[in-house]
Amino acid sequence: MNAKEVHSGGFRPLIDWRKAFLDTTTRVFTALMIAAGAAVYVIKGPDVFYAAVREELWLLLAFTPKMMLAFFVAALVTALVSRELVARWLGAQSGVRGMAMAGGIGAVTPGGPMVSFPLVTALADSGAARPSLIAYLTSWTTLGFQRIMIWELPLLGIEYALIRLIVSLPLPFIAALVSMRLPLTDRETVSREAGK
Amino acid sequence: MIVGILFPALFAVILAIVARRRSPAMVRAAVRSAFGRFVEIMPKIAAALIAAGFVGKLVPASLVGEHIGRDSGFYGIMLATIAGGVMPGGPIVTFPIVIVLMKAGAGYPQVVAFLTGWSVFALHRMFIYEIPMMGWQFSAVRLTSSLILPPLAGYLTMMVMAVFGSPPALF
Repeated sequence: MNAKEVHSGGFRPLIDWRKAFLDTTTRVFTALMIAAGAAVYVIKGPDVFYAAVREELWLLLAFTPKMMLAFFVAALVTALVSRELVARWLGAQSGVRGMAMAGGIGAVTPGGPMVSFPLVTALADSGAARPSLIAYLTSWTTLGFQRIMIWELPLLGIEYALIRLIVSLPLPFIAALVSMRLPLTDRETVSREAGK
Repeated sequence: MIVGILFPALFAVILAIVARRRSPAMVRAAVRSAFGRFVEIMPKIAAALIAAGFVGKLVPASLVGEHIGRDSGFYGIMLATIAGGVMPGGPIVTFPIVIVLMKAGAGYPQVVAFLTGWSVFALHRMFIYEIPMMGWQFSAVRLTSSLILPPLAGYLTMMVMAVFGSPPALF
């Protein structure tokens, strides 16, 4: 979805103001902000209220330029790494090499679940091995560069983001190895019989 | 602070050069798309962060510290794993909560377990995408294979922090 928007750019209005300021998520969060703010003002007093406002505004100020940069990087990666490219890389490998490839590719796959899941479904149908699919999905969720760029680096800082990244490196392989020990699903049984 | 912005900036420049080689229009389109997404998401994040700041003032820090604080060990990691696993919604909800927890004294190993639990279990994503597209059996296999991951990530974080020391407090 995003890749198309990026490539065909120019047709999409630059900013969807209604979506930005009036959609449900914004309204819910704004309501929550007002309610929690009122509660702090009443329960904890005006001093705590203003201190909280100051703290959050500073955080927001520090966070804004980093986030903007992160969106630029995410848009470039989305344009450079197309879904077809990911499918080709993933489909060509199997075994331990396939698991390692899948782990690496999961981490650079841009976009949300509406990009990843159709891809995984297509790969499963074309006979990709289960450990590779599991490694791919686990890597996409725990090592995904987009989440690290957009959320963790701006909000938590490089030290904390780095620690989480390092400890998460082995996770896709562990999940893949565990998954090899589990019984076959109906779908896998069918495609295995068909392969005979 | 400086490193936090230099690293993504360097990455952005390298990518922009690569993309420019392929087509200059790609860079322009990326700038437009990035700016659009940024403006769309910013009001939500601003409201969520400020709301989280207020909620943080209301949540008693002793409660957070006692259950998922630095010294909460195995119990804290398991509690954080479960809390992360049942967290509905995406990063706009989760990261402000993480900030509230860290401000209130949650330990980072527990935060990592929380984030990993949220990432791999993500029940909303499972019900909307994974089960309809891959079947419940695949989801069950993936879930079973992932059960150990959040506590493991929490423990590894503990080990990393024991060896290298913990980074300076954020908030």
